[in-house]
Amino acid sequence: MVIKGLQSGYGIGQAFPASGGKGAKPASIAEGTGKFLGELVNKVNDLQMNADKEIQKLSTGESKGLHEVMLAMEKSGVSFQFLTQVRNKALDAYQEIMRMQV
Amino acid sequence: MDFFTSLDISSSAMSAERTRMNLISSNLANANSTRSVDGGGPYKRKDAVFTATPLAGSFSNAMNQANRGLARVDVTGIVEDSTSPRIQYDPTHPDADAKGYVSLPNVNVIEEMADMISATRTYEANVTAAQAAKSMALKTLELGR
Repeated sequence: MVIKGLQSGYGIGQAFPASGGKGAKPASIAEGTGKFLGELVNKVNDLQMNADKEIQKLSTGESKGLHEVMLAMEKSGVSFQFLTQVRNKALDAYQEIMRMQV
Repeated sequence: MDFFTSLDISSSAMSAERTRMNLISSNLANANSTRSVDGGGPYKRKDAVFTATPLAGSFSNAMNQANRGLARVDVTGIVEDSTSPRIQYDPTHPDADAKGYVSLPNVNVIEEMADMISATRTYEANVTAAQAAKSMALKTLELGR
């Protein structure tokens, strides 16, 4: 009997495919999830850098849109909370597996 | 993320209302200005023209049924009020004409105050809309807790 490895199983990797598009299956769960998390982190980082830029523009007087800065900060804040939630979920799943009796 | 869309729309409205508020400040500040820098008579009341612009975005965004019909607001022009200036008899005024009449700006301070309340309230409404969009997103994140 062949027990299939985790590589071809179903898990977070399928819930969050690395590259959108239904046909493209990630090579492995670890790779797919890693790529997804990496992209998410990059996106959140972009939003935070954008918020930083807006703050800088406001304080140097280049821009006078106070609300734009606040909204950029809110966007980065909410996205970061989303990232934290995803990370917590992934970590919970990992710990759940590690707690499993073998 | 899609809740950004509503934040962007609220942001455009806040920018527009801010422009309007600037114009109201300008009108109130110049309610008694009898000269212009270019030498052309008294100050003329200014007003902003708002235009609903379809939300420009990525192609997939445009194709998305849920995003169709959404519009942000843009200030597409600042127009001068062409009503005639207020005429007041004041022979001692340096800008009085030969008969002693002065042309004052066509700014009605009471009207400007009413416009100001409208601009402030609209701004507040948009801030509330942005806050609501944000709290909806945060509530969704609570699903995972």
